[in-house]
Amino acid sequence: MAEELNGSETAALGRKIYEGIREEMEAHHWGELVVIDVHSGDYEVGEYQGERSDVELTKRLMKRRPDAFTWAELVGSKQYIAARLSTRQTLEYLASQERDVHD
Amino acid sequence: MIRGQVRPSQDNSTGLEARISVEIVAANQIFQTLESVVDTGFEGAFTLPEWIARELGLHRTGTRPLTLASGQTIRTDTCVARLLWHGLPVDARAYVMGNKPMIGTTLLADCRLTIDWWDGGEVVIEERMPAA
Repeated sequence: MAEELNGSETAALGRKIYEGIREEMEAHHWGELVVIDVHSGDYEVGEYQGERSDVELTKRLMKRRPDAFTWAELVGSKQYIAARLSTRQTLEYLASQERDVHD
Repeated sequence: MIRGQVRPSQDNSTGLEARISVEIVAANQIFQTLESVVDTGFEGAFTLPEWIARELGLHRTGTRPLTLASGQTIRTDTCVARLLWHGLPVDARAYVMGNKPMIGTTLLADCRLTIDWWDGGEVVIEERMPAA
């Protein structure tokens, strides 16, 4: 079983692996989504049509790497692909962070 | 067609919330019913509280960024979960967070959502009909 990573560690590892394949990705897969297994460096790349593309690429990667733990990058974009949370979810998240600090 | 009900919110506010029941496949391949809140302010597919993801035995498949309503970006663990949506199995990304399951607009894509916004009012999610 691979070591468990927190969000920042996963993002840092994912971005480092992506930097190693960025040239190839930008040459051949501009605008596509790449889903990277941060443990093995293996990845799947394909057309990006929202969150469902991310799910399909993750499933494809997990057929080869059942224990994959993934990070995703949109080729050619410096922006994260980040779904927006609602006000209620934001308040719940902030309250949970406050609880963690006080626990 | 998916039906649910409007009920008083359980998050200590004075408001109401639109709830539906969602069938989700646990790690043992058995469907479990989760009461979920429909939240049209959420752009992802759905969220699952940590304790429910653990109870269902769902394997975490990665970390993804999310944007808070304030604009700040956070990162949270996610699972790929199979659920029944309009009677068909659908694989969707579940963000592991929050106090109760919430359905967002990725799942609501190509649907008509109708809500009678009063306590006991009806929630209906219909698939978009193909153009004639």
